[in-house]
Amino acid sequence: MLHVDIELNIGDFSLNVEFQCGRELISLFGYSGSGKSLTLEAIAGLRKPDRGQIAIDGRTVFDSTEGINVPAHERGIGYLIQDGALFPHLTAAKNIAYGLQGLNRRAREARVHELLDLLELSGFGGRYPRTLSGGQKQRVALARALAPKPQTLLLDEPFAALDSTTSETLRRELYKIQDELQLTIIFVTHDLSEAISLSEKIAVYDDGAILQLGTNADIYRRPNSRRAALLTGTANVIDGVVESRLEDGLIVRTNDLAVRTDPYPFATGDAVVLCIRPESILLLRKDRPASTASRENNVTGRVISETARGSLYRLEFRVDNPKDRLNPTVLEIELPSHVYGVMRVAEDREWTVSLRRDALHVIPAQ
Amino acid sequence: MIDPERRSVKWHGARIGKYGPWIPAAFLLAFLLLPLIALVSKGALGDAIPNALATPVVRQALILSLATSFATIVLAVAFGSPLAYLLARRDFKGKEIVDTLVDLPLVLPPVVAGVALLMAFGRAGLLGPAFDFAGLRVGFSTVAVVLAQTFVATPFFVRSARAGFASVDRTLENASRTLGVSPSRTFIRITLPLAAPALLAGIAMAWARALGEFGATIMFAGNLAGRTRTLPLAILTSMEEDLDEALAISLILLAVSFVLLVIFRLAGSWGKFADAAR
Repeated sequence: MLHVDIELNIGDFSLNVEFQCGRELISLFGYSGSGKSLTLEAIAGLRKPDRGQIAIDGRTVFDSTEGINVPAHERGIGYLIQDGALFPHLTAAKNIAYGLQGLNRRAREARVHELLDLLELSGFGGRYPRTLSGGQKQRVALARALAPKPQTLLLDEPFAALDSTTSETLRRELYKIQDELQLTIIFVTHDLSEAISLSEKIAVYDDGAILQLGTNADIYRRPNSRRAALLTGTANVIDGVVESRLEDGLIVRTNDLAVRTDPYPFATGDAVVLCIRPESILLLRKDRPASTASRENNVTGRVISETARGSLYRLEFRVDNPKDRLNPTVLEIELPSHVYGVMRVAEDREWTVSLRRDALHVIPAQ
Repeated sequence: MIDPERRSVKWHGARIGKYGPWIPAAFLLAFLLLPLIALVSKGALGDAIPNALATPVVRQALILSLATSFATIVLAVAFGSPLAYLLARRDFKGKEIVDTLVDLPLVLPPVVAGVALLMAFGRAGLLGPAFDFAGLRVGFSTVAVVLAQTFVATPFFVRSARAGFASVDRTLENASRTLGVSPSRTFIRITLPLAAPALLAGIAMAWARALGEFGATIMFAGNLAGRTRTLPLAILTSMEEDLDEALAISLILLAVSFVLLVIFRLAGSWGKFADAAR
């Protein structure tokens, strides 16, 4: 259990965050410079906040009002950074054993052995860091952080410098470790898909503050602000007004659209923002009737540009008959490449799309 | 189209470009090497070195040189390391001034340093009355030799040690602390071993400088056999009477310097080795 409520100022930058974390894995997601790493440094005791409290498993390690500031080496926190920070003058085994000061030699060796096994490093104990690959180095660094059996683990973009296959394997191992040991893990990343694949809860950081803290589904489908929507890849963020309230939802009107949404606590006339992720917009097939759900919120328009992105195509879709000809509503749509091929989008540009109500999210315009 | 003249000009140009820098470089190398060759060929003849070593005056000078330079290194490391660490790791007011102060003895002519030391610690110096009162006499003693060497040699150590401490990645120290190791133990287990090559290189350089110290020593400590006559001063003394002895002492100094240079280079390559590990 980790409780963090701190304020930390460095020059013009100000970090001001509050959150709690149980025996679970929380991701701190945001652009670089948003204060994620700084938060970890403060929790680890490597940087002193200006105000606030930090408590780990019920023990206060920092409290500005009571003048408590437990030094880093007495906090018992595992901390791992992007380049691993392995000690270059020590072998892998000695790196792992580094934090095991209290144990006798035999217990220490047993623990090192156990960790080498756990992280599939058997046979690499005698190697120096410079002779290890990037993935092996991070495994050693993770083993070293785990060796003293911390209950809290702070991971600062630990897999960001690795190739995608290696980082995928390590993510799976981390997931397994969390599952077995039930640690409190804070994972910093600037990659939303990494955050989603690892954690169940995500905190969205922006400019030194947490914009939104919630489950993956919340963060992904239900951003709480325009900024959070944009940070998490909700490319379609459209201003509108609540036109009327229905029994089962709202009708929201924007410049060029009028759509039915699920119920949200807004009154008629409220200014709102309509959010829909690019991959949630459906192109309706012309050769067969649409399903009931997809018959709602249909919009006709034209594909005006496209970008291939490996397994995906990103389309720009301009709605027909825009109110403002100079500034028409353009939706961003993401389509799997095989669908793009089967539906012959390359030749056929005129389409009807569905903004299904279960994919629409409505937030206040502020 | 082939233009024979043009082609030959081009060919010449390429040759000058390729071999040109070697000509002045070779002159310089010859200039640097020739005196050493002369020294070795003239001095190593016969049994000049064994004879010199058999002379009590020379033996005394050798022992004095080794003892004083060793004391200098101990002082340089003991007082220089903390200063180097502060300069590498802390920000404080007047850091630039301290930095310049440390470098000052590097550019100050040693003779001037000797006069300055005399003005500070000598009988007529600033601290002279205080020393007199305490019954101490620093000028023209073995202590003065050590002080003169420390004054001129310590900056070499501090500069190198400072670079060494600065090169240790702070994330390593942070990692050590989060693993439950206190800052002072972290210094011993992480910072010191990683800065060691630079510290060693600094020791070798400072030691070489201390062994060769002449100007400040002769001004501040004088040339008293057995008390302040180190090897460089012994060379000066011998030059007036016995050239062979002077040559022999020079060779002894050359050998010691060469060994220190080798240590310096080895420490340097060891440092690269440690860097590549990161």
